[in-house]
Amino acid sequence: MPAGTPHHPDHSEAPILDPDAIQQLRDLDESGDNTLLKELCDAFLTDAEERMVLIRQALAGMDMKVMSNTAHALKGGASNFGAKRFTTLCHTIQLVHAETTPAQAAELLASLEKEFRLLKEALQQLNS
Amino acid sequence: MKVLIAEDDVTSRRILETSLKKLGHEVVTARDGEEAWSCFDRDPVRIIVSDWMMPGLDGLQLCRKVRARPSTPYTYFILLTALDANLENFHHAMAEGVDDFLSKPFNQVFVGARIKVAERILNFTTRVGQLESILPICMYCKKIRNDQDYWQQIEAYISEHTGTDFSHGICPDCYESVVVPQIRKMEQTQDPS
Repeated sequence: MPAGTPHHPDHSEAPILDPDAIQQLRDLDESGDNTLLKELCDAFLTDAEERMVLIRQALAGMDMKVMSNTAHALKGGASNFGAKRFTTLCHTIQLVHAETTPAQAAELLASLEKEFRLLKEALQQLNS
Repeated sequence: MKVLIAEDDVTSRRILETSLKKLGHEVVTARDGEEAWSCFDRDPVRIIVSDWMMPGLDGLQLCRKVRARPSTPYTYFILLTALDANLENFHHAMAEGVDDFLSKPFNQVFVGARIKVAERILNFTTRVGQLESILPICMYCKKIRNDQDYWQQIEAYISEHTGTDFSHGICPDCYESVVVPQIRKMEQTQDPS
């Protein structure tokens, strides 16, 4: 691994969403019709789409601070759904530093885009 | 109890709000540290649950402002952290006046437990505050007028409010003024010559 790349633990075998975490969110809903889960998924996805735009812009300008802060925010929201693969990647991006090269940052972002697509599909499927 | 949530992540904020409402608490939410401070400064609450990293005023800065606010009852401050938070940061947060930590993602049981601890400690704080404030005391018999307007022995009052047990002894002044005369009187009664 090149010196500028933060350590990226492999969680590719982990499920996209943790069923226990999703069940906890269902249990929290007293209405019993999954209204809360749908509301949470919609709120997360709307917020995350905006943050993905921010992170792309940060990458283009190699603004490591914005990249790191945005990855932290994405991690916080996604962790509520037990999205281990996505949050692990966010944590790695959070640790980007001055020595990270544009190529390495771009590689991390490409992985994040892929994981975000998978997470989005999984969350949408939950409410379909 | 009224709880103020300061959390910039919309999903975490909503989950925490729902959890606390389900536990029977009144909840005020703020989208960042600045908004939380405005809410608190306008109408102080006794419990704050705040995220650590927020744009603008972060969790620790919010805690510092809360602690520095004059004439404010003690506020129990719970800081939200990620599970992978740096241990050194915990020491720093404690030094800044944070009372407790809650890790994300939230577990309903832990949220409830932390708030229960907060309520218990605030209850003790209130009791200590009552003891430290002015107590109505009888200038003759030294009984204390308690919260139910009943005149109570000072030992019983302190014991009820703090759990303190008393060991009964005699101070040197009372020994001289009360006990010695009693002993002399007894000696005189037993030996009339």
